[in-house]
Amino acid sequence: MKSRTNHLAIGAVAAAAVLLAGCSSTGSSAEEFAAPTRATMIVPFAAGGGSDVSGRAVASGLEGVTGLTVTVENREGGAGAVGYSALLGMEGREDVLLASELALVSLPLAQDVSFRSDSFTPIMNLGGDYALLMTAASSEFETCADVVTAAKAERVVTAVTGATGIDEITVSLIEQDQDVEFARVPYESGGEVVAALLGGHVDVAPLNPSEVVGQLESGDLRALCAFTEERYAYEELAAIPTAAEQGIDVAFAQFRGFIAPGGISEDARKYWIEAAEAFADSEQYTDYIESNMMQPNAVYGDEFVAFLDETRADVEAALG
Amino acid sequence: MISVTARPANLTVVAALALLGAGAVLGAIELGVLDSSGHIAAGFMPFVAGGAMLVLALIDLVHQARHVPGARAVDDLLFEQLIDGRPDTTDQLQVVSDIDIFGRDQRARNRQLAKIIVALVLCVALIPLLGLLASLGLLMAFAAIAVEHRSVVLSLVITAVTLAALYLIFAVLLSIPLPGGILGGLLS
Amino acid sequence: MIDNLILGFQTALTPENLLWCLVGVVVGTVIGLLPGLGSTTGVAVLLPLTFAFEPVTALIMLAGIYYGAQYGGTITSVLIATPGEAASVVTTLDGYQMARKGRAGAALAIAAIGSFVAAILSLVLLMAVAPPLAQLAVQFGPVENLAIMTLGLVIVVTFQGGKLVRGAMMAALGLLLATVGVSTGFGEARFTFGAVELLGGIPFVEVTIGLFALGEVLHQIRVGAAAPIRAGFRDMVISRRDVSKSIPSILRGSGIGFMLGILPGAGSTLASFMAYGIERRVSRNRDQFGRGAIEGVASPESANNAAANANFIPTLSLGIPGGATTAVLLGAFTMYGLQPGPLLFETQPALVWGLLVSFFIGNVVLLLLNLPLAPVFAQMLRVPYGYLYPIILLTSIIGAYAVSNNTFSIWIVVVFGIIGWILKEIDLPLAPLVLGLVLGPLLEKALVQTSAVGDGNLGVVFTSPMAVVVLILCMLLCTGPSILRALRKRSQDPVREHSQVE
Repeated sequence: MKSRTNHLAIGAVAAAAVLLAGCSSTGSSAEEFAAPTRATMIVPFAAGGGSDVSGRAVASGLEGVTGLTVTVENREGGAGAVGYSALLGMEGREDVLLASELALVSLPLAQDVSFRSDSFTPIMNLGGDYALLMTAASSEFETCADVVTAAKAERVVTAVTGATGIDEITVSLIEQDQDVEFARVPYESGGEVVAALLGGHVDVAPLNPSEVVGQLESGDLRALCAFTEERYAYEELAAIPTAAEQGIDVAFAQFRGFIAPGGISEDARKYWIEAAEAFADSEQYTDYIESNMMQPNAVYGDEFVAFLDETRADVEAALG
Repeated sequence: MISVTARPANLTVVAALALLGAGAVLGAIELGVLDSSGHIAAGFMPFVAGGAMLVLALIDLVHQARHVPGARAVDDLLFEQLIDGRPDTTDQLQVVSDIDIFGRDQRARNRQLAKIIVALVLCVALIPLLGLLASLGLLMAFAAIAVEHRSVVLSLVITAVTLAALYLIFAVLLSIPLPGGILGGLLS
Repeated sequence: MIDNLILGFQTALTPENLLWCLVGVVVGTVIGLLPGLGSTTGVAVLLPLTFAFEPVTALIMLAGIYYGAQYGGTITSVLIATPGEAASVVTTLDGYQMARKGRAGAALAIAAIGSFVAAILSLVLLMAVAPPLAQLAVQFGPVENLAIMTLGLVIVVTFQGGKLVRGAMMAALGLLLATVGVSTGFGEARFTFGAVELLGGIPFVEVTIGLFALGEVLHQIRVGAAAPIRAGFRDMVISRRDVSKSIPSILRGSGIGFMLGILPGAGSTLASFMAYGIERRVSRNRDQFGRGAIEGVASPESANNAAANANFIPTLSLGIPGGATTAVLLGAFTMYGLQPGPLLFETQPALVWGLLVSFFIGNVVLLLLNLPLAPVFAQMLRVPYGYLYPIILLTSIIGAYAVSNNTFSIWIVVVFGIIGWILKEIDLPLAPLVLGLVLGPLLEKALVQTSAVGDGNLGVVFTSPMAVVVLILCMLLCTGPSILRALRKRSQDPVREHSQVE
């Protein structure tokens, strides 16, 4: 008797469960594209980093121009591999985006991952984030040329964050260009690298301007050169000479943008590109680029694909 | 009370840890403990940690072997039986009072435990189909009604209230998208 | 200084800021209470809601979530052995035992008092000497970090007392599990067996939920329901004697927490473990540890709060995050158009001092909230276990899911729940396993960095005086107890000695 009522009860719960599942669904791909009401922005790195900042800026920017609810999800791990692999598993999902950066191109080149840079649908490139070669205020180095000269004679220690990041690529490019070798100490984040420079644990380190602008202003750290084609237009950075001015022919930018999963419909791709274009015209886009001292370079869709191909060739050459 | 002398289970687990340590050491050697220039390589930590675990587990096994077992407690045998599913031998043992406040003996509780573990695994396996909240609701109702034999109505009410509270906190307040599963997809 | 404080109070005491400070600490308490959802996730998730606010208001609220979560994390650790925050794991050791003896109310109250005292002490230091302390903190490089991590490991292994071998074995298991995935300095994935989800490593939060929350539930089902805890009112509230007994522990815990909190990366989890380990050696009441010693709750809870506040030292005075949550807060700074860095104290005095003063207010609110609520929360234990444990199961699973919005997390919880149960049955200690898992990546990073700095030679450690001091401390901890015991054996009566070994 008792057990029968139990079964009935479980049946009742199951019925309720069906209703509940209906309420909490996130919706999956439909045959005909209908603009989603909510979307997810995957950030393949931890909260608080550069990728996270850019993912959140794009998410709130897209919310502003489309009226969507965009939830940010940090799927960190494996220098980005976890997040990109997750996106690979969401093929065809039209309500998912990923805040992309260099790892999209460099991970497939350096590591055994199951995705390639053409496994996804590139939507928008926001701009380029170049690196500055930084050193402590007390350092004897005045220019990047000094650093190269020193590296020819003795052990110069630089910090890098991961084997596939912009700092590793920049250091590799200098090594190839100048035929020198640097000792590398691996760190996990830009913040840690700044601390290492301040404490004198490493001699130099390539860092993005947004990571060091506070230290630059206070004078605790100095920039030796910028790995840009031309000098920065930002007031705080305009005095920093380019590497090329100092005889080092290295200019390399980490791109930041966002992509959608592979295999989405042409309509969905158009929808996201249009949203991206509206975002690029918004104040939020300009704010994001300026507060992070990046070079704006908004390209979309096929142009972005071509840009990625170029980047891949550069990275391939650098990581050799 | 469970004592350290839960010997067979203890021996099995520590031996498994020793094996795991040995495996890690082998894997570490394959990864490379030091690189060509003498720097620490990817295998260093697994080598040290795995090696330490292997040695410590062996020491512990020796310790265990030295202490000759006294009379085996009911607990040990039951645990052993639970782990490797051996036939029940409890009746031949001297009966120790293990009846809890609900009048359940150890066997009944072991059955409960087995039910809960199976239900847990099933519940997680059902998430892609039913969605998170629905599967969890089933788990809770099952645990309260079928395992704990609680009042059906009250169990259902508590399940509903818990689900509603979790939904409010996670989905509404923190706007974490909870998976709806295939069922959720069909319904929307 | 006085001017700054006045400015701070002017900023923090506006009705709007006061309100959001209150909201922040309450939300933080709830987030800390839920297993899985730590302060990092909480702050990141609620960040977008604050875009409409003034920057200072937003930061006051977000910071409130951060330190509120440190209070909330304790509650479930004590009541149901389910740590809401990683830093509360070690609180379960004695807090849960206290609860089982009907003293949950006292445990929660002492945690709140310890947290409050630690917070106030560290805030005073933060306000007075943050910039010089930050300068000191950056002097800690790879070499010194390696020494500190070694010390942490030694302390936690040796705090198992007589079961040294088994404790060390579990710590080694933790370190080994920590090597799964891709880690700092190496490109290749280790022991992932092709699983993409494991590239990021075995997630610590999920493992903790599994081992403690689920493991304890399974264990309780098998052991059978004990008679419900019926504690008289006197047992539920904290006595003056409890407080005075705990004061030295609170102060020691605050000191340890503060020192570790300043160092970028070490964090409050390590601080709470180290405080507990040290307390277990020096406390007058050390025999009672693991059986419901109030000092075993007071000390780690003070340590994790002191560390949480000290984390703001590198964050505010250098713009370098002290931990995961402060990293998110720094990200928030940029989103509000603020530039974190050494000049922040000068360029944004109203913001910095308003924020710091709001910590005072927030902590007072938390104390006032937690003290009377402690006995109320303790009533939760009166819920029959047959209803309570399904609720624990559900909350744990959904909390684990919320960490990374991934069903894989739930599998980790289930697997480690079963592992945790087995380890409990055969009396293998779980705490060293958890600390091994937390310390593993930090220790390995320090090792790899030290190896790189010394060009392959780890002996470079001995060139740093600070590292040498710490290593000597390690040696003393390893050998000290046996030397002490030998000395005591000579002078003391043998009966006492015997009882200690038992």
